[in-house]
Amino acid sequence: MKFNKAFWRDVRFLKWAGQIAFLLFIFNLISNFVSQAIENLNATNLPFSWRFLGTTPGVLISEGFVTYPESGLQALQVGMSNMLRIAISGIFVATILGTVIGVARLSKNWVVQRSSTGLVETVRNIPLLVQIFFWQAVILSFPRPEEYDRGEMIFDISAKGIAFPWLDAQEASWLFGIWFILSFIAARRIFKWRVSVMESEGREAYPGIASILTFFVWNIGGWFGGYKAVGVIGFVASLLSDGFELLPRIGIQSLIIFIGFYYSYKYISKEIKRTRSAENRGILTDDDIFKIIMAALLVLILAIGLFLPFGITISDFLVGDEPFFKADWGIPQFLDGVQNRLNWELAGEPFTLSYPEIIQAGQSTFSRYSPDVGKVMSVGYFATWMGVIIYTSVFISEVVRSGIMAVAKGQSEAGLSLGLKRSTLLRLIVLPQALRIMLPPMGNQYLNLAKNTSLGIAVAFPEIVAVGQTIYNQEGQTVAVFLIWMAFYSTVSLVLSSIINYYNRKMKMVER
Amino acid sequence: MSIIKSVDVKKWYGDFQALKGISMDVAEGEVLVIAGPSGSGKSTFIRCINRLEQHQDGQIFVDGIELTNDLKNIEAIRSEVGMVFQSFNLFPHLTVLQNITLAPIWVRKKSKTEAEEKAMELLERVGIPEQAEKFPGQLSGGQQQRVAIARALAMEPKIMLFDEPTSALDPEMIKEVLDVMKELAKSGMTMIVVTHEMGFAKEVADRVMLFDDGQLVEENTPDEFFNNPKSDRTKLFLSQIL
Repeated sequence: MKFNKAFWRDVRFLKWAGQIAFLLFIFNLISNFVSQAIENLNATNLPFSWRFLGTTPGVLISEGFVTYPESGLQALQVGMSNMLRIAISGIFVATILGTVIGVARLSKNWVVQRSSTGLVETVRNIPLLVQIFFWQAVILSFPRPEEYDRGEMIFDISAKGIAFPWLDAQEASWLFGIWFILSFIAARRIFKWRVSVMESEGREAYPGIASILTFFVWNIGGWFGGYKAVGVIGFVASLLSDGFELLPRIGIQSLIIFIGFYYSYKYISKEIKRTRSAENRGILTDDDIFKIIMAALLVLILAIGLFLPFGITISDFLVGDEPFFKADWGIPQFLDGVQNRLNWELAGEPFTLSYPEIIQAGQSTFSRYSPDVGKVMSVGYFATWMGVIIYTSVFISEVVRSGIMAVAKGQSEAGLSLGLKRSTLLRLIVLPQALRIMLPPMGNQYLNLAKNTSLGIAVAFPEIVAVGQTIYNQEGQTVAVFLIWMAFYSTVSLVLSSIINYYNRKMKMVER
Repeated sequence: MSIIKSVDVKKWYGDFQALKGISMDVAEGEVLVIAGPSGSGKSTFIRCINRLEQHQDGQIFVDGIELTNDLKNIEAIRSEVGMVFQSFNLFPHLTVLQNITLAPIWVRKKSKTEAEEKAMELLERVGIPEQAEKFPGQLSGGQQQRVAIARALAMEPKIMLFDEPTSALDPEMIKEVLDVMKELAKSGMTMIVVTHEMGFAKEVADRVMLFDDGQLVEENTPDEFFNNPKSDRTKLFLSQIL
């Protein structure tokens, strides 16, 4: 690169200098923070460490897949899974509820329209925390379970939560679960097939009825034994697991490095193609060079990290006796697990139905729901769940409403003047265009919902923030827990937004 | 026999009366041009014919069927009556071909191949077969309006309504759309055209009407309308636009 004599006026020089200066500034800032934090932690006699992840924390988590976690890591995993339970089910319910409210606000029926407007205006002007407390108060206003005898229960609400019948998992549950997921795919296939028949042969082919029928036939057939076909996955997994043992370790490591190189190559060549224009063939801008250098650096770091295990002493020096990079990431164990769960030798019904029961709580005079039968939605879960769902669904309703309203009136008029039925018009003309407008703001609402679950701490729902706080109060590892929180929430957000972005790209409108 | 007949049609928007009793009829194969200043109710009237607007008083018969609140009648009439809008209203998320084949497939239950053959024929007829796979956003205004005409024709309508089809176009593109409309008129299609293109009216129309303030003020042959108008309102209108 040749600079002008007066390089301080050269745009290219300024750009590079700017980038490098900013990079140095950021590094400096971070290293200052880090060294300051280390110093302070040492001064308080609580040096930074991840050790608590392996030791037993001795805490009781009120609900989750484990209540007495064996390790700090497991405790945090319980918190994560609790958070995800609310976030995922909440996103589904809030989407449906929000769509209903949004469409209701556009209704021509005066009563429906006014009442949904009233709901939206009320809910969105009250802070979420207050709403969560409200739902907690609602459920706490029910009598406690010991206050009167309920006899045989199917469904019950008390100050201890909501209890309802539940399908308890059995040996063959995994098999049937996968069979059930496959039924959706089959129903969708059938729907598409019938639609294509309708389009190509020009006769009514009942896609909706056919797909619903497929769903039921598939699952009923599955319940009476058909689900065992899923065992083929377990069989394949066991083969793979055996194969994995035979594979030399260098195989996997090289594969990963190859993938790394492949993607960085693709990234770089895409950059080059993008910047290539008719008069400027293959000439890269400074930005591109900078990006390529960064990509190459990343690959280098990855490569060094992954090649370390191969008998180089520096590896032992860096990663100790139990080097992470030497591990097989539990892939064979995972495959064995799959093989154990998905196996056609597993017998019995896939699920059994159980009803809730009230039992005495320890030696006290109080009662509670039995944790072994039925399913209980705890007070904290209910309050957080209802809070985020109601709160988010009114915002989603506004997104839905604005999306539908943004589709020009002329579109419906054109469709109607062609003689389309209202339902066809909505499905083929209005919704595809409205969805496009709705997707990005919808994604924001999903992210909000996911992050708002952290308010569960206010009603003692043990999600990741509540559990993390318990852990650092006990172990003093504030920084470590904060890092885990950050990593967890950014992972969730990134996954969510990349799903949304994927659909967004898929639906993008072609214009000139 | 008249294919469209309206008897004393009235329409209000709140306090404002947009149509003050329109009675007229259109014979099969006739080309009728409706002229008039903006706000005179001419668009409202033709939008009543396929019930994009509802008239509140009077009667409209299309091909012998009266327009009422009966959904079946409305859908039947809409599939007989094609409409072309000022702002094209093509479906932006579908290709040109999909725009044209949508209604034949979903309303007429034609097979996809049959509908596509017909669509290509129509694109040939409006002169843009090479644009079939493009999206509306990639076409010029004149091309979009020609696709809109092809889309309406794909339903094989008995009547075509044109609501100011050239008003949103650049001057150079007006001609290509008018040429398609002229060809259509010559083929014997029944057409009602709301337009300010007086040249088109002179050349193609069988009859010209002037709307003003929600009323039908003049109804005449093009010759008489332009050269020897009956009402003073028509004289004023012509003096302003010619």
